[in-house]
Amino acid sequence: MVKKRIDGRDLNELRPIKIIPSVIGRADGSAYLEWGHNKVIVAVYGPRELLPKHLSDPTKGRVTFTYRMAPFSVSERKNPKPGRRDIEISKVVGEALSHTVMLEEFPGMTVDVYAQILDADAGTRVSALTAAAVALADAGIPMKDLIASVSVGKANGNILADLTKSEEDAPDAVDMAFAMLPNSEEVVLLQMDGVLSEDEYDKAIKIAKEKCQEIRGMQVDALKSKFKTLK
Amino acid sequence: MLNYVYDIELTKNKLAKGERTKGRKDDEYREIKIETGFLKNAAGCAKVQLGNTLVYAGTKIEIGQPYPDSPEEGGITVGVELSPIGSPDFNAGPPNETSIELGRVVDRGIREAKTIDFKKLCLVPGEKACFVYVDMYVLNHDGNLFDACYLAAIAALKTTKMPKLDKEYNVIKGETSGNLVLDKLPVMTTYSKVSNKIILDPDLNEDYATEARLSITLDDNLNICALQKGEKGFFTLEELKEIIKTSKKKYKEIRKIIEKL
Amino acid sequence: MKEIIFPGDEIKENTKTGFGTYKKNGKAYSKYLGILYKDDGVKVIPISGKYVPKESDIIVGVVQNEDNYVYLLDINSHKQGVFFKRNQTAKLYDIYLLRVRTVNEVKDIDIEIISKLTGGELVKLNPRKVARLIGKNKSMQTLIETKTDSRLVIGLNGLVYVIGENMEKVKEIISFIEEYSHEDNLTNKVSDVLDKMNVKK
Repeated sequence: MVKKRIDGRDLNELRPIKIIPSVIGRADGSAYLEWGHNKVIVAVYGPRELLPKHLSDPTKGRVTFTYRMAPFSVSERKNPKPGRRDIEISKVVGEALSHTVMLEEFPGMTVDVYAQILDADAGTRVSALTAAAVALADAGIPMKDLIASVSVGKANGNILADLTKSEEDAPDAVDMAFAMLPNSEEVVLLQMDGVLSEDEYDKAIKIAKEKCQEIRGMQVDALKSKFKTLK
Repeated sequence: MLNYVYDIELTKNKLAKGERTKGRKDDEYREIKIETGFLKNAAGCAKVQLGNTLVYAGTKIEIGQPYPDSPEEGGITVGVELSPIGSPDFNAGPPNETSIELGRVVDRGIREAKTIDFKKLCLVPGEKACFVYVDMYVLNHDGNLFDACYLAAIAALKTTKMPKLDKEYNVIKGETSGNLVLDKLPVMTTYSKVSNKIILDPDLNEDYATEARLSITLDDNLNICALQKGEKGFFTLEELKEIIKTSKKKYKEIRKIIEKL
Repeated sequence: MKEIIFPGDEIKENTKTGFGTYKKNGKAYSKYLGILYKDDGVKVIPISGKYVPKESDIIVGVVQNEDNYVYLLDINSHKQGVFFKRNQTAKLYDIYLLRVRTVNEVKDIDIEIISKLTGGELVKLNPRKVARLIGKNKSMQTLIETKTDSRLVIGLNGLVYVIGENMEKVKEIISFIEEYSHEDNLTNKVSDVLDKMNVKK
């Protein structure tokens, strides 16, 4: 008996993902990403001067991440002012980016990454981080690798990849946001709520690693489209 | 892509000679592309590309208590955010005077033309009514944010699906019940004065070179229902009449685009 | 030989590693999304990015701002170029041909004015593609100048001042070179495009 989910996916299957780089002309780099019903636009500005000067570090640069959700992106209208959740996500995703971006290459400067969620359906932060990696590459920012991000977890007794909102609402639901540098397997984002045994944790991590490799492949394919060829 | 701001002097000189980029006429719009109905959670949505200017609008309907001075009416709230995504000059943070002016001008155009009959949004007089929230994001600034935001708002409103309500007028999640009805389809057009020339739909360079700006909204009867002059320059009375004349000419063209949605 | 490479991709060539690469545990990787060049070692040229100033580079800059003592110029880099008011007067949006005198570790640069540029228009392109716009022994630049009857003042920072009558066509061809810079035989392809544009000599 093959176990299938409400939307017909296998336990390990990701929702459809679409990535388009270079969508914002004024920005130094950008990407549009759809992940299931999630829709996000990410723009990168920088490296640029960080003022006031006393906030800048003469030995290395910094990268900032600002995560915002549109009031119409969720079921109940959300106040456009950033809430505590938005600020926390901005912080941890920014920290994930700080490990992959080569900050020593632009001392005293800043790379600012902005993510605007237009439609949300569980997994907005991993969508935004996956898109951010593409936008940073689009901007020519030096990085160790393309960060790939995915959510894994548990619902109704199964360890799953990429939970939807209704799966997140299951009574035994566990949701884990995960991101790593695929080539070195360095984990840069890890957040979890729910209860997992160590065995379940191992299973979830194994799936997360596999899916990140898959996602990196999609990021690469999307960026390849920037290199047009003449017929 | 060019960061156009440096071409301001050049733009002023060219306009003085009657030249616009790619031979555009003084009363010609750049290419307008509008998409609607692509978001799951929004009641209505629109993506507008006016040249390279990109604006997203989304609507949400909430059930709330009518205001004491209009107990039998629902209402509409319009907001614009100049996202830091859209330009190196936009900062993250609370709305500034530019985004507030944009929101209020778009609101006025829609409201004064009596686009929506607020009485039809009333559910229980004095107690419950539908309130429509239009939120817009400027995600790429290439000039004429006024018209781009206006088109996004009206397109999102026109394609807004009303929520289904239960007997107590609470929203039933995931179900809709018909479209938001727009009684009118007003049209807003925005003009810049640069080097004593009046031009429609300024691009980014022309926007930065603008001495005075006028947005005019016409209703279905070609009556003027909203006006807004902005920037630190001035208009002569003749220039204002000229603008009204041009806006009446452009009305049909833009109305056709909105009607098709 | 050219191939597209992504940040974190391993470079398998066992050879000298140059710009755009980093080493970890004895292996070499790409830092950028760009093109991998194998020619006396390997290097990665990023597909995009701002101008990285180098001493004695000839660049083009635009006056963007001023304060009491200096003019600040956009030179398509991470920081602005600066020159002192006491040495030179200038107006907002004036365009200058400049030489980079010195650059420090945080990319503050000291520039000197060569001349003011007038009578033309500014075009911005990706600084990584400037070499393609110039071509070997200026072959591409000369081709464009001859076929469009114009003069190109090319700043190594990606700001190009174009003087001539066929501005739209020059902008189009520069845009073309920027999009297809990774193609082989680019000069021939550009020549074909220019001919198709029916540009009079």
